[in-house]
Amino acid sequence: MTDTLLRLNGVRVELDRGSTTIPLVREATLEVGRGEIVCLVGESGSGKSVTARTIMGLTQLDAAMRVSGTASFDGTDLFALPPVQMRRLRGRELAMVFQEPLSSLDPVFGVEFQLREALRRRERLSRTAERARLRECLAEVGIHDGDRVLRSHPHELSGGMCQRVMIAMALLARPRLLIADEPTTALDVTIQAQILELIDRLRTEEGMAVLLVTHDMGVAAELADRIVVMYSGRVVETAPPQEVLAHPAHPYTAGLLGSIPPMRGPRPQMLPTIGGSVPDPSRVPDGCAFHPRCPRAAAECSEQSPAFVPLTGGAVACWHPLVEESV
Amino acid sequence: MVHVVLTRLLAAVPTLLGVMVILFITLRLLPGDPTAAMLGGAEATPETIAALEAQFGLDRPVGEQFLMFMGDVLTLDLGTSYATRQPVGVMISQQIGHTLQLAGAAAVISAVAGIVLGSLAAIRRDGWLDAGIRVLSLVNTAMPSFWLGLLLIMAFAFGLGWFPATGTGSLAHLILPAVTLGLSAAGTVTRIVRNSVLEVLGENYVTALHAKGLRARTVVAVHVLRNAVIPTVTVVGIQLGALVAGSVIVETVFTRQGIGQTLVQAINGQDYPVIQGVVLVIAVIYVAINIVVDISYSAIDPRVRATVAR
Repeated sequence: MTDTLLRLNGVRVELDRGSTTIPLVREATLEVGRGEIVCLVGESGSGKSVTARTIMGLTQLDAAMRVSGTASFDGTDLFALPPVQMRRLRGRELAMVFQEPLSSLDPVFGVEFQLREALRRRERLSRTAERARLRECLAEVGIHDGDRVLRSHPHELSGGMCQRVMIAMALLARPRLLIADEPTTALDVTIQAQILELIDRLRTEEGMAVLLVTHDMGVAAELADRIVVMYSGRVVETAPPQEVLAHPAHPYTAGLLGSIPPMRGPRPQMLPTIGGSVPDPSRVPDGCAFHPRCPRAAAECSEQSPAFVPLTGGAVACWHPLVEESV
Repeated sequence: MVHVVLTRLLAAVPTLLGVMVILFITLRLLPGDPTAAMLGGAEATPETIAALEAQFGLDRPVGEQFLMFMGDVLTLDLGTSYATRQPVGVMISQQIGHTLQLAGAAAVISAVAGIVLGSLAAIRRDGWLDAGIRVLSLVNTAMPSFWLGLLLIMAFAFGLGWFPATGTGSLAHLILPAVTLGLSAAGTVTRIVRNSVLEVLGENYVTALHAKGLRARTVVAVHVLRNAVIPTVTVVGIQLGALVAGSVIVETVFTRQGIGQTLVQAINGQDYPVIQGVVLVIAVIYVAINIVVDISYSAIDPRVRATVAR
């Protein structure tokens, strides 16, 4: 794709524990096009959040983390940038929204102060112009009593309100890529839909690309231009949502889809689940990491890690995908 | 807010009463006789001694003496010194300025040293700087202040001659005692600051602040420190109370004027009213600082402000 904004290639993140290294992300390869929403899907512990933080250069702030591979952002390799330049990209070209809005705002400073900080990363305005800009930005994220919110401290706002403030803060950066790490997981169901709708609308209005990390296949199916499925630190399937929904190639993707209740028809007594859980990063099984939980596992699955093979509109890393390979 | 202050003040009454009861009983259980001390070893007839005892109420039962003392305290009268025959209130008011100056300077030194070293150690966690600061603060905590004081006198007064070894008055006289007293508390403050900075560094909002593209320096100096200072204020406050008490030792080492010196002389002379007066004043300062610390939370932490206002 010519219009790629971000391309991760073989990204690996390891935690250095002195005597051992624990791989948190084993192989993340994905692309985000300009103005595209890409959903990174997987269970807890699959390395989605670490991948997201690594793109932002946040993982690297911890001296015990080792990052390799490449992350090409508009032609620049983010991992090769000196920390100072990486920091300059944050809050300008790249912005991030986090899972827990309340704990992601500094509790002792007011909302206005924290928003101003973000705005000043982008532009220098007079105090009155700053205030007007903040109010305008809050209105964009659906906060209409901006003055009250600006005067508030985070603990005086609801979770949904805080997440709107966080999104407003990210928007002040006018980023080309917004990374949203499970932005709705900590919120009420009704608020969840509003926030996702907001992100989708802003993507269209601002023309920014979004990498949305979620464990919810339903959300991904609805919003994504492309779905990237991660399992145990590795990207195992990537495809457009209609492909994923119609014929998931990786048995893990199929398993994730199976655990969404059907929209029509009788509800099954019990939703099918994937037995077991994501392996501990320090004890990842040999071969395909999914084989102990996989209904289609065969001998080679436990011996060799499957390569990434292209499929219609995407790719899959599986010895026995559910659809025929078509190059 | 007024309500909070009043409740705290009321709660302080039993504390102070307890201090006075324990002190009063302990003093009278101690061996020795105040009249003998008053006479300074001079020969005296039993009549003279009896007259002295009657003059100061020492011939009454201890319970009655206590009630008389408490009655005087309520009318803000701390009694008269056996040794100097001066009102205790006057003696303390002449001396307390020196002590507060010393304790205040020491508090500033311990807070600044503790916050700077504690945050440095936390930011450079597990590095050589952290290791050095941790060892230093441990040694410092274990080192008695009179010994530290003597070392400083040897180095900076006798050795380098930069500061006078003893005395009161100028800023030069204040520096060595203030450093001695300040450093005696700095180790504790350093360790508390280190722990609370480390705790704050692990918070989600710190990651979010980095994600905003703020400089690491800004994140620490503006956001982390203000959050980390909340638990630190408690410790510095309690330390400040301890510093007023600790000045007793430091004032003696540096033969510096202050209520500490007054207290030591009074103990040697079994001058009950002065001992009681000084201890009561130290206890009041201690309690007052605790109240101020409680109130200061709401200035730093908006979440507390909300509950206080309610």
